[in-house]
Amino acid sequence: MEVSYAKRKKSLILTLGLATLVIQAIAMRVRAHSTFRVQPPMNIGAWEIKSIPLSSEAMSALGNPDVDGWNYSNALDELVTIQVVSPDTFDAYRNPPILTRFFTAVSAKVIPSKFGGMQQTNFAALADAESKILMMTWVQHRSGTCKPVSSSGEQSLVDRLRINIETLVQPEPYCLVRVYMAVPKWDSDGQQSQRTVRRVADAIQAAGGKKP
Amino acid sequence: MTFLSMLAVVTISAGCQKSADYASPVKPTVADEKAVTDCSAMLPLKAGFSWTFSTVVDQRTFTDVASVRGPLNIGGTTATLVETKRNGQLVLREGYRYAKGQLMLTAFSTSPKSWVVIDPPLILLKDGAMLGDEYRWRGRLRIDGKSIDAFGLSRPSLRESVQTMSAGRFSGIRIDSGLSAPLPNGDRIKYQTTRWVATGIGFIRREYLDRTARRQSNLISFKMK
Repeated sequence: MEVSYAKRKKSLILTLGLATLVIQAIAMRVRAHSTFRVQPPMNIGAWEIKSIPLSSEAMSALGNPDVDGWNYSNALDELVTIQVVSPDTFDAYRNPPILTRFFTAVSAKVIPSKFGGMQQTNFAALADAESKILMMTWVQHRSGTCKPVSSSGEQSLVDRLRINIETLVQPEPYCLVRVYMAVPKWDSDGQQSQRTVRRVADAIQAAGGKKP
Repeated sequence: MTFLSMLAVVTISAGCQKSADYASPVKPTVADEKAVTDCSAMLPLKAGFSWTFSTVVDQRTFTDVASVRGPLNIGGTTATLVETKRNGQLVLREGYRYAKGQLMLTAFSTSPKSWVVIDPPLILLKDGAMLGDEYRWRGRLRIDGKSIDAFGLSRPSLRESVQTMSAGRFSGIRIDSGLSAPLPNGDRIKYQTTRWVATGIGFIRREYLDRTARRQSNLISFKMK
């Protein structure tokens, strides 16, 4: 009986020690992954970039990770917003508050990236469908390859689980990228907005894939 | 892996967010589409051609007539002058040029005396253009002997079926153009226009940014003689 108790105690200490080591390893791996944030190009054709820090509300909603925010604009006063987020908080995977608070996702599709892997396009609309936002989002590795944040359009528990488990076995640092714009009323089915968002996404993915 | 999965579930659950309900997904992708084969046919510029528009300004409706006047040297570049008059008064002059498979805007003016010369000319459309092609412009605007650095672009954005005021319904190309010149005092010169053009007809609709309001001109009739 005494031997059995000692064995159990030893086994428990061993398990706890192992668990601590695994948690430490996860934390180190997450920290290592969060060292990379892709730098979008300074201009994309006629589009010029401007750094726009995220609001405190947006930062709080994402769990205060390291984030870079930019706007691309052109002479037509069109605006495309970029967020590059370090995956060092679990809330970092959330969609921007403007989408989650005011809009409902109406469609989503996972499509191939020109630079390897997959990405996804989401359409979100207000209840009256008059105002729409188009967003392209993906996980970008340092090598430039991409994978979708989710299969359905909005991240879920399963998606976070999948990405975090993949993190443990994939050594390459990555970041989360979101490119979105309001769809102007004249672009009723979002054709031009899709081209614009896709063009910006392609340019960011190409920049991320460049070898130093 | 099971242990890691459980650990991840416990850790992630704190930040869990409910997924949205999705309607049956449409395909949010767009196919490449050719906008135009021969862009000279999109804006016939023969002297005597004209377009009559209904334009609403400050809740008042006016009739504008845009006429092709013929070639003119504007700021050292030969262009085809298109004049728009309202009740006989000049409201807009534009210089268009078609060369090397490109339709360009070389100058514009809202006054009868001076011109804003676009140097180099702004490309509006190219032969074989695809929808969504963007023509980046960077150069100088020359106004009354002064020269200002500016930037801009032009883009055939959409193919649209346009119902005109009374000339019928036409399939046309929407061309968005914008020029912007920052001034030392923080203001900027902004010239934004949208033209809808149809093969063999030219303008079927026009829209100009006038200060902060957009003035839309809808086609009433056109004359190709």
